[in-house]
Amino acid sequence: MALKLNCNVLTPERQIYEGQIDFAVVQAYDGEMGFLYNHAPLISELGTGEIRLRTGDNTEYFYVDGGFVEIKNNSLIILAQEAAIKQELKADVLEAKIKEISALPRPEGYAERLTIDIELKKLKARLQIAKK
Amino acid sequence: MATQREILKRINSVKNTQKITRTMEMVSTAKMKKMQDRIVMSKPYAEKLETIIEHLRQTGVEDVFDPLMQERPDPNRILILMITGNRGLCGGFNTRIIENTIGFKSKLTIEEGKEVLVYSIGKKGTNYLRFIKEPMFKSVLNPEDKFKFDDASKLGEELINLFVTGEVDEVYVSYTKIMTRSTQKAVISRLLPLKPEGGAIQESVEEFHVEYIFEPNPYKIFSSLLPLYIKMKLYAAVLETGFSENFARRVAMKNATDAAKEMVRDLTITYNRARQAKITKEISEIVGGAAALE
Repeated sequence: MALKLNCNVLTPERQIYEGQIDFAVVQAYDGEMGFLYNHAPLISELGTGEIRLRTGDNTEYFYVDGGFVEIKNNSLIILAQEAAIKQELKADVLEAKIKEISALPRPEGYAERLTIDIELKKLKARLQIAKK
Repeated sequence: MATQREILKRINSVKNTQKITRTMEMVSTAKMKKMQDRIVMSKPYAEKLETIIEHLRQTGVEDVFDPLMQERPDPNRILILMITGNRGLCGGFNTRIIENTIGFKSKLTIEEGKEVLVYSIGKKGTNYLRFIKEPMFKSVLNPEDKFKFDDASKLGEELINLFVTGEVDEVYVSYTKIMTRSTQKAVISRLLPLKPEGGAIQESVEEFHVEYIFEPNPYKIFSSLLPLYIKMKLYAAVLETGFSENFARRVAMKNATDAAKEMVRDLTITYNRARQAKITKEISEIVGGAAALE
């Protein structure tokens, strides 16, 4: 079938994915966003969450944290600040980390608490993908 | 003339040095390749980022008021980020960056009467500044091949913070840029405030205005793109310096190996001469002794 998107997932350090896909879902800054063939040109900010790339019956999962997505002329470019392939994420390691951080006493300052909460949120998002 | 044994000793010591320099050359070559791979890997990202910025500007976000792009009317405190290596034995590599930085600094302080702070990354630069008793704003080691985008990200945030809070008015980076595959040059470029890069307006005919949809809105995207852009620039600067360092070391070590080879050759000739002279002397002594007996 010709109705495919050219997809590129990049991080500053490497190229994570390149290929033709049928359907993509990315985590935008305020929710998920889907892309099919002939999508209108769009640039959006990314949030923390997952990316799903579907080709036929096969779906690939990625973790993404921040960055941008651009689609134009059926070429989808995901510029992530941080990203990982599902296979790279180890559920048990992540779980241990979450436990470790949660077990620590809550710090006093608001800013410190916020950093910990963000860190936890990121770890949980990773874990969710690792478990798929 | 030195005795045979002394010459032999020297030959051996030069050979040992040669072995070391050759190994170092190979190590640098390997490290250089690794750095190069990382630079190549980061290129598409940087390019795409620039295209997106380009697209944004074509839609007229250019005159957006972003604190990171705002020029200060009278920049007084200036920060120079100097990136050098941790180790020597790489020819004039570190010296070039340091000289460049010092020259730039004195130009700013003496001619323009500005306050200049130096943020040094890398042991060599730090040691030199300490040696000439230059105060430093901050000094850290060069993370070399452990350098991740995360580190660049932290560094970028630190610099952006300094700039936005008004601690410094301008930020420059002094590093080694890769011009072509085999030439690198110590350069100083301004990081903050960001200047709109020239030649941005390419009214290309085939790529006439595409109407983009922006989520959330162009201004928001633009202002979150800029820090990423700065981080990417820093990341590239450190990687390019790392590459150049290993390149310079490779060249230096190759020269050292060649010089050692030449030296061994010369010494071997001297050694053979000394040996020959000794044999000749012994023969003539024997012949002389035999003649005396007759």
